[in-house]
Amino acid sequence: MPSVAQPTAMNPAVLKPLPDSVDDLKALQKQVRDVVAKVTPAVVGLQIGGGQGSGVIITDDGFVLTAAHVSGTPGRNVTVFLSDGRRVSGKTMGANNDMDAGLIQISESGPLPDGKWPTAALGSSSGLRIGQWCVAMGHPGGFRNGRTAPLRLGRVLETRVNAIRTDCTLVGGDSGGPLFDLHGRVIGIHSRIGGTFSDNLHVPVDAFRNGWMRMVSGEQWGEAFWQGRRRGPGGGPGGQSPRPAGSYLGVEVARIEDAGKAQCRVDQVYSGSPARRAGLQQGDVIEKFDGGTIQTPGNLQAMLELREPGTTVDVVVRRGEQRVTLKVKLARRIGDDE
Amino acid sequence: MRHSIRTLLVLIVAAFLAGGALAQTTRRAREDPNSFRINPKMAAAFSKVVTAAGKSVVRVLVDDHDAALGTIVSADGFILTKHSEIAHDGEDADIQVRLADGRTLPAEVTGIEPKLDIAMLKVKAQGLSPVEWRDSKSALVGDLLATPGADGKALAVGVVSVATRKTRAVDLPPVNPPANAGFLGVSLEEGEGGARIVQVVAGGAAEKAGLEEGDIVTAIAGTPIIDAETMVNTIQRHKPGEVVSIHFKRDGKEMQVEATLGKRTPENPRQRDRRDFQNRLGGDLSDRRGGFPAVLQHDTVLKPTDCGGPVVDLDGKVIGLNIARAGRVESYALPAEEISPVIEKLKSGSGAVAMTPVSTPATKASARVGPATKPTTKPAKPPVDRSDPFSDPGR
Repeated sequence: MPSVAQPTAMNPAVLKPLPDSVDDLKALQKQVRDVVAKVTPAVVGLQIGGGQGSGVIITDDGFVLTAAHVSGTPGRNVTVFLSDGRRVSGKTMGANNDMDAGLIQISESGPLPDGKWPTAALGSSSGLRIGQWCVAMGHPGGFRNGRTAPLRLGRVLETRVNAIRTDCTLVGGDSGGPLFDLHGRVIGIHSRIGGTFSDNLHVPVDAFRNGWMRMVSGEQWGEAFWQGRRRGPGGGPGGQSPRPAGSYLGVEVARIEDAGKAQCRVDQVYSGSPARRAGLQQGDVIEKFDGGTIQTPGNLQAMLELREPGTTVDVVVRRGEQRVTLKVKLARRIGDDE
Repeated sequence: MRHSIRTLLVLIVAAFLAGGALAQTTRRAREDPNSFRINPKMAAAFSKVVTAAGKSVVRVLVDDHDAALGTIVSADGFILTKHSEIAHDGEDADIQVRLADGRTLPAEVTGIEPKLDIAMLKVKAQGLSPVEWRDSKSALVGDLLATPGADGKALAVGVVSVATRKTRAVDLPPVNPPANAGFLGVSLEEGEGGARIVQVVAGGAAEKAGLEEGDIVTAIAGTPIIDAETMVNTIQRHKPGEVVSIHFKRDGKEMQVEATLGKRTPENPRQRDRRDFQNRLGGDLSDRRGGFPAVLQHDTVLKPTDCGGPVVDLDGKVIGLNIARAGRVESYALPAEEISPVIEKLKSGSGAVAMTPVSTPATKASARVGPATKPTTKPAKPPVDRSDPFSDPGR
């Protein structure tokens, strides 16, 4: 994977947390225009099987960063929609499911001399400042002829181990698209959204850097946390599933390792959620859920899948040195309503 | 028939829905106070940008409720607004305009332009500040924009996401069709003098009636079909089982068939719901959010009732009129250059009515609109099914 690109010269006004004047706004606008001009040729739409997402070309031989929930398993055929509307083919490579980091390689040669591809430079997701400006691109709703990849402006609001949170708004189809700093360097890849305009989560680009060789070699590892939301093999046509509907807790969890042992840590508790009402806190490590041992986010997701909404379950968490048992009344999951 | 395609993005739960059966009845999570979108300092930086255009913004009230913003286009009281937000079911809808100086004046509708979804209001006032339009093509992707509110301050800010583009009906976001609307079973594109059928769903009403790919539909049940959107609107105002007469051209020959409308096949309601659900995460959308001939797409977060006002660039020039909150990531502005040519016609009322077909839902209203009356019809449901071109071949 290419190394971190040098920063470009930038008007210092752009580094202010927020602009103070019209001149500051104009400096910001100029910087954003420059980023757009620089990166647009590298932003692509993707169609893989029955799904549409986005991606960004980062090497001149055609490697494309995307989300793992877009690329799926290695070796799948991909249609890549280029910024000029042309379509080329590619293949999915490896993926780090824990981080939602996926990779694709374009199978054809690029439009530049020697068959090279236009690329976006790479940044780093470590050392991001809270409040720094960033821009998102991608193909919301899927690639559309006659529409350039819509640009969104925002700021870094939070950095977590497994995500950058910004107020660059995202929606279905954006998954896999790039988040850029104002030097035009990729700092994240769009992954997931929550209930507000400030809940847009991006895979930190360092996750790609850390797993690069494994992904290039076609390895896929980690737990596909998003698959917990799909109906399993029991689901028949029209979604007539004999399985329970699955229920909702309202936390974001991360897989962490402690002394070589996987653990499931609560990174965020959503306001108004069953978890919040029960007193779950950020940093809690979930050890047991309704009697079952939890070691990974996937374990927890699987348990939630099998519980009916409305049931009250015991959740055992480790909080610092303490071990706390909480009673959680599970709610109905949304997005499953017909 | 094309395959259904999902657009991907993981939903991380939606805390605000917990325990509630319906989205409308539950509490939303709060925005991050650090978001630039709601930061007062950000709005303050734009204060000089919106000073001039802010004087041209009014609040439009229908039956004493905030319905839309309005844009003053002449000193003597003509004001443009978003038509579908002020259109009303009742005969006695009471339209008022609140000016920046605090006066609230009764308003009359002098004309509407359904294609643009704009209406011209007239209030008895002099010395108002009209907007100065600037061609929207001057705005590049990434340019900062501000939407002034009726108080003259920046109500919301954002950037140009996609420069002004001509649109086709199918390029615009899908709207859930009325639950019990009739279904013909065709995919459409714009044709010469009508809507061209590009696909016929096997076993659907159109196929049974003998319609074929390439046919250009010119009238349905007496309604002239000028484009794909009109056709979708027209079909959806009929119920499954109804027989409609369809006039069309095939190889230049005028033909006519009777079609018994079917029911929309529930092929992917989950998918449609999910897409619609994601687009509504964070805030509501305009009922009418598509079918415009051209739009400038920006990422400003607007309420549907904050459409109808101007959007300005960093020079403070009005490059368009906010016409729809169209999705979680997109608001649409009608480009200034689409609006200026119709302003005079809308003032007199004659032009708009004459240039539109006789019975799309919006036009029904226009037929009754004169200087002395109020618009009377609001489509009960979003009027258009602008199916995602990738996911839903049938209409």
